[in-house]
Amino acid sequence: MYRYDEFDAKFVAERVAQFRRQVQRRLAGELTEDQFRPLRLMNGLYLQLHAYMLRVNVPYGTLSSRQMRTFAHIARTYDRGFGHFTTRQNIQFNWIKLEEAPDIIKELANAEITSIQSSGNCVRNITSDQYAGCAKDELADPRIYCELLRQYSFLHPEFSYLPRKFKIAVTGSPNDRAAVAVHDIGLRMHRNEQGRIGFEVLVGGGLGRTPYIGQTIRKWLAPEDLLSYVEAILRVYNMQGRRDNLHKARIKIIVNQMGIDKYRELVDQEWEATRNGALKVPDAEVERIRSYFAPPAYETLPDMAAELAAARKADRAFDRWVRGNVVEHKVPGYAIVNVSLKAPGRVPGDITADKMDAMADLADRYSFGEIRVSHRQNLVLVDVKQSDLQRLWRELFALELATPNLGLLSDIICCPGLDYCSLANARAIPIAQDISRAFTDLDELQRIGQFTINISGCMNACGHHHVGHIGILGVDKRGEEFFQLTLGGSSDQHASLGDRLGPGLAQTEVPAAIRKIVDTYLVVREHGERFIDTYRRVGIEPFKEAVYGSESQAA
Amino acid sequence: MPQMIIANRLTDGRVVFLAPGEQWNTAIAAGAVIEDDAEAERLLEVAKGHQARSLVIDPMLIQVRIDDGQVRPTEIREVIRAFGPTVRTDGEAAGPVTGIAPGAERRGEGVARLRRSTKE
Amino acid sequence: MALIKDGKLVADAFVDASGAQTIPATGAVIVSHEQWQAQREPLLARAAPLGIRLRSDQPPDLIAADLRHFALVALEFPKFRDGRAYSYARLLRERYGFAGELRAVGDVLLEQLFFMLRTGFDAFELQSDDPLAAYRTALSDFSVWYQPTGDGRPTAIQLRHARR
Repeated sequence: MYRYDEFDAKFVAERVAQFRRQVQRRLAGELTEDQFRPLRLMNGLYLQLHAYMLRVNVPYGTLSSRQMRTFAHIARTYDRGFGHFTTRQNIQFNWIKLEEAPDIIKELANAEITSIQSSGNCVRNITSDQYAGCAKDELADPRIYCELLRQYSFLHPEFSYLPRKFKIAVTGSPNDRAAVAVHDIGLRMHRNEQGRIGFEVLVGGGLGRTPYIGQTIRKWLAPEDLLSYVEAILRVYNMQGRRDNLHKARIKIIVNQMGIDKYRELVDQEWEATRNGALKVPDAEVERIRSYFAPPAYETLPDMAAELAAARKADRAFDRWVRGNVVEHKVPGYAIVNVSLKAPGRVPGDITADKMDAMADLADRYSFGEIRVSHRQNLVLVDVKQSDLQRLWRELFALELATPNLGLLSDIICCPGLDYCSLANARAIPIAQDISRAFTDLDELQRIGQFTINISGCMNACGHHHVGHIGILGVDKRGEEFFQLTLGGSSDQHASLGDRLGPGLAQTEVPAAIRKIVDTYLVVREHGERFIDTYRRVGIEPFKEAVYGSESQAA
Repeated sequence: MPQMIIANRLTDGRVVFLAPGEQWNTAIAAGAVIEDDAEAERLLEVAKGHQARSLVIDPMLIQVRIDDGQVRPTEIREVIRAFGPTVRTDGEAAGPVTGIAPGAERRGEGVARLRRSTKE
Repeated sequence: MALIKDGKLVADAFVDASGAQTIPATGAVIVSHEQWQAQREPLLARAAPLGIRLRSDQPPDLIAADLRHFALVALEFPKFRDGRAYSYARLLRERYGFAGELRAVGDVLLEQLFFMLRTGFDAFELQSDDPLAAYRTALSDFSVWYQPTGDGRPTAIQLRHARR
């Protein structure tokens, strides 16, 4: 993984010193809250319901065991012993004190981690495929360009006060695990007609109050043009994005208002003037970054299909886990292991300091000291020897990190909601807990098959409910919490936004409604098709009927 | 409807309530219950003065009710601010009863009670 | 309010008439775009230096063809959060080659000075109790820069590979 050179280290140290000064000025009253707010947000510090919350970047989802141990240390020393992994490859600590924040980011900086621009009206953490570098279906490792973009975006003097936040995601595989279609800029690596790898550029995707699927602004972009083209997109946005209404300020609004063709025209005009200038990416820099992502010291091992099959046959629970959470690796003899942070009844994405340390140990012993964070709020050990799988599974099982539910009904994506977040209208975590405890039969879960549930506690959609197979949005109606369901969303390369099922349900009605949707699907599905395929085939009516039917509807 | 003033403390972000003597206290039980509207406005101005002096952030008036001698906000958001998350924060799984975390039970919070407190 | 130009506290050589009913007959003056359009000939006939002040919704291509007439361009930050002028400044310097005084006016604060410096501003109406100290602090905040702008500071990429 990338390691700071002298420039990166100096930069981060200077940023830490600057933030310390800004905090001192605020505590001394030299800065008003209004003046201070964007500054602390650009260092990842929110004021939430209970305390300050610090959001720390895990750039493109790649974490070293040392960095995970640092998270455990921060959780113990400055917080309440746990952290929360988000849908954008970040970790959040919920009980931070402002006066300790400079020390915290200093400790993070020592481990080469930052919270820089994890919030604010600037370019946020650049996210990617959690299997990058290891997936069999990968064309090229996207993280090299994520790292290039990360440095480019940090304290960009022109783009630190954009109309609104700006999120970029990159996938190196045609199977999009990074949800690029619902980002402000989405980058898909693919080959042009000459066989050269470059980027399809999508622009104007996003969730929240007005969700949109991103549109293609450019079919193929050469890698050396990446920064100049992104700069052109950002400049047009910075100058033309709306500043009059916070809820209409994202790039998706102006792209859809003026149309993608017009936006492309403006970007190309801008780009013509800059594409051969100082932003052209030198090969030397790409190669320098690439060297950090060289494959680890893989052993030459045979594929262990037969041995694995035998072990699975002998142990039902191990079999379920391999089927559910283990994915093929591109190197023979190795496997990608998904570590579930979604045990029934748990807070999705939360992990205690003790378990963070345990994960760091497991990473050191089983996976070259590296951990990945997925936007599904789970962790991944990407380089595990097949011969180690059963041993690793037993250790994960003992830690309650082995629930074999990846991408299944109880692998719920859930924002912190009203229990933590000052933006929320309703709680989200109890809903996730109720559902996960209503579906604990592992065989049933695997029979039901791929089924994503996403829960957001407000329209800001941090739980990505628009792109869940089932989306659940918490709303406040006259002081009571209600939950609106949507069906048919998807965040992969066939991205779609969910359709509203019907009026909001009370909290106690939600698990039963999910059950009815599942039962209807099981009756109607053909040839074992996934729920999303059944839904696209039969439409919403059967599910509407099942949930609302002829019963009197919720208020 | 009785009121109280709530804010976040600047230094650590903790939720605080304006108590008698114009002090801030993290316990809602120590907060000053304000019966009179004119007094509420006056104390809000005091609180805004504290904000200007960088002691607290976003002071506001909230409605409270007294249940068996215990002060509780009427809005679910402020209940959570006063008493903490309704879910466990110790990393353990939620307890057996739907939607209610054992920690919440100990505080007497349960969803049903949260609901009742908002119906005013 | 203090004016810092080229790192020094200076008296303002210009009178800002952009919000006024009448423009002084003599002396260096700053006008609005509306005034410039309405009174172009008389303004050009004046002997003294001319400046123009643009609002944050007025991009510099409005005046790109006329830049040779202006000794000064002032760009407004109505609120420090309105970041349009950073792009305008870069375009003025790097695209249109403006070499006169580029002044930041409005909600201009210490904590954004560094970005203003990098995007091409060289004069600041700084809201501060000690503007010179604020200026020096901002200038020294960073010695590593990742992005090329027109300010000529070498980027990390350039320095990394120049050493070879």
